[in-house]
Amino acid sequence: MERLFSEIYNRYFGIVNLLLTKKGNISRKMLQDTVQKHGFGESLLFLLPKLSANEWELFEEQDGAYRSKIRGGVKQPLSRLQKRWLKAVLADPRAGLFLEEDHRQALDEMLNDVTPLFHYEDFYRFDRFSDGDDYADAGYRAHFRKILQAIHNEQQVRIRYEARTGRTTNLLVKPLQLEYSAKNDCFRLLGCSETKTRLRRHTLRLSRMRNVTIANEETQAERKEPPVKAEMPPQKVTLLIRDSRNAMERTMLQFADYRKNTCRIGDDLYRCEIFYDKDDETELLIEILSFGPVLEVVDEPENERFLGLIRERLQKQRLLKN
Amino acid sequence: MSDFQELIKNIDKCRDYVRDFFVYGFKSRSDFPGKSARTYDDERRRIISWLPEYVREDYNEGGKSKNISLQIDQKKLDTNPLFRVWQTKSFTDRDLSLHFFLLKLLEDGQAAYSASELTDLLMDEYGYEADLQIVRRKCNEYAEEGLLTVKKEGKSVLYSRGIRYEELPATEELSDLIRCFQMDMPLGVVGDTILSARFEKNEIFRVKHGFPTFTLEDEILLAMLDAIQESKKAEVRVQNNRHMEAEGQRKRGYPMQIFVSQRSGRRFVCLYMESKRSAHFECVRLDQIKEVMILPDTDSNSAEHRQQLEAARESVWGVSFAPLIPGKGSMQKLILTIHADERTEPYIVKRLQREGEGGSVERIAPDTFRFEKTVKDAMEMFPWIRSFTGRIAEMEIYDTDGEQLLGRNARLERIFFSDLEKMYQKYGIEI
Repeated sequence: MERLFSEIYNRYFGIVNLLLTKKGNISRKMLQDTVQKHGFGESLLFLLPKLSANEWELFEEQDGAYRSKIRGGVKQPLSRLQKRWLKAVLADPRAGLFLEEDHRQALDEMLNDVTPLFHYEDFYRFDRFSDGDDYADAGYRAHFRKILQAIHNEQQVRIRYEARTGRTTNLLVKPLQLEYSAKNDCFRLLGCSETKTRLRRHTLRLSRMRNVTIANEETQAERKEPPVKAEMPPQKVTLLIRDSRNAMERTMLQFADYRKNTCRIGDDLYRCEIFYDKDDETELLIEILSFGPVLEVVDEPENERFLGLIRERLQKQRLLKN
Repeated sequence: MSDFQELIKNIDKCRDYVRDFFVYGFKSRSDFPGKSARTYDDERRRIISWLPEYVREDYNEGGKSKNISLQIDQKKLDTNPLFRVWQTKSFTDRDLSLHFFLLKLLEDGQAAYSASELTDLLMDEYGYEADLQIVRRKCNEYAEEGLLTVKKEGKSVLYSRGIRYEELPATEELSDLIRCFQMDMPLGVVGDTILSARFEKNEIFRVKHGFPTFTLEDEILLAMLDAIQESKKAEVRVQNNRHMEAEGQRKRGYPMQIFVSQRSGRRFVCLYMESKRSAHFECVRLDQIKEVMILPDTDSNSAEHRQQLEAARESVWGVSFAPLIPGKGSMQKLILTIHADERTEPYIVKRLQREGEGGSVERIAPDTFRFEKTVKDAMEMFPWIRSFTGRIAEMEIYDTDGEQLLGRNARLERIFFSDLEKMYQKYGIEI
């Protein structure tokens, strides 16, 4: 069986290789800067002394400077584990979004000395939504590739988009990122467009795009941070967690997607602040409701709006079935 | 002087600490009773060193104890920071030197040398003195890892390098695929090793609803996937993460499939377990498996067991399986009546269809829909049903043998509605 925890994937090896590729003299300062930039927090204490003392005999030393004995460093061959993983992911339905079929086949043939690390059917995602995107659809693939190309080239795209209501609109968008939702099994485009007065952000599902073309206009906006960061401050809701029915662990895992602060305030009682984007509010709301009474939104002024949403649902429920 | 090291030999202990700091981001030294203060301090220091930008240190309970937590905002990540745990394997000085010298000597894909020739070349080219046995051992180790290939020529064993990433076709497109898949696909850390070796970054893809902690179980997953492919039996030691001091339980079975919950952030291995009297499927959480041993037994009926699993899954909502031969009242039928405005809230019906795991959805009156599903354990459905709070007109649970209804299960219904009652009280909801 292949090893995942192996020194060939060690970060120190990567840093040493980076230094070995450097042409000319390498000063002590360069050693230090490279370790600091690419190493762990304390690598200066552990890796730098070894490099400075040339303990691995990989450099020639002269007048306090170093020269790589291994010009150009090394290009590490693929391990069996890496090849098996590649072989496995090439069979994923989404692989066709990135690779033409003849490339996919050529890759598969070059990896014919290994078995895939896993098969798609080895995994059963029992609570994934059943209406995921159709990755085999030729139009979908073409839209995906155009958007990817536009992101690489920092171009804008014109999108004919059909909203959930059925209404279609034409948008000129600068695509910034592609977001994959593991629960919905779909891709969304995160992008922005400019009006005279402000930057408008867009989150657009690829499956709702009816047409995508690369726009010829020069992009006005410089590449910006993802719009989720740029435009909207995160919202916050504070929860009380009573650790019965393993609620603490379940909460921490289920809300792993969100940034959060947790502290213990009593025996089996915890306070947890969750930070979220406004767009995700309904999703978070129903997730909190799904825990039942072991989770409680704290009754304090900051939570007033969120509490209002919870109370509205409970009130409706009580009227519907008492 | 401290013997603290940034790198580690064994990942098991550290994996549990990372998980605890991430999942329970409020634990301080006193929460690790079975560990020495030195062990706790060293593990904490290591985690701070590996993940400095994600670590938050503060004092809890009135400043009495210091704790650390990992603050990770999954949706904004370009890679999973917990992959770094896999980049920390310690090595000897010789491991590192030989790695670079040998791979450089074999740089030309056509070159093939014996261990003895390589030993001489190490001295001639780099002035590096190494013992023949050590060079041979390293070459064999790398052949085992797949970095080198081996061929026999007469009595000689010749080593040459394996294929490089750069030699594959369409690497530009392939790199985008890896950037996207490394955060979402099983064992995505392997994709990360490919990108990291080239210092390639991901600026394009983000993943929503991902779970960074999955990677901490990846070595267990790897063993399970091998057992699945070879239809081998496995023995696992299962230990509850909340009671780490206990030895745990040992279970034996044939790994059949990995069950993944995209909502709860848990992965399970489904084992086919057989005894003299019966056989059944059982799901075991991957993060609670602390040891795996692959046994020599091979499942001679694996195809049949796969079919049985596929059929059995029909009546499983999450991970609770019914016995393979259903007994009286061994199943439960859940009937949920939901109120939704057909005109303005069509998405509610869509939710029932796409999230209902194959349950039937029927319009029974204007703005009223009935969802039905027969499962082994209806209680597993409660979190999902609660997500419809505000729309639940009725919820009934019947015991069944899979064919006939045997009567209402008042106990389960009471649990559900009494929880709802508790919520009304908590939030001061009155009629």
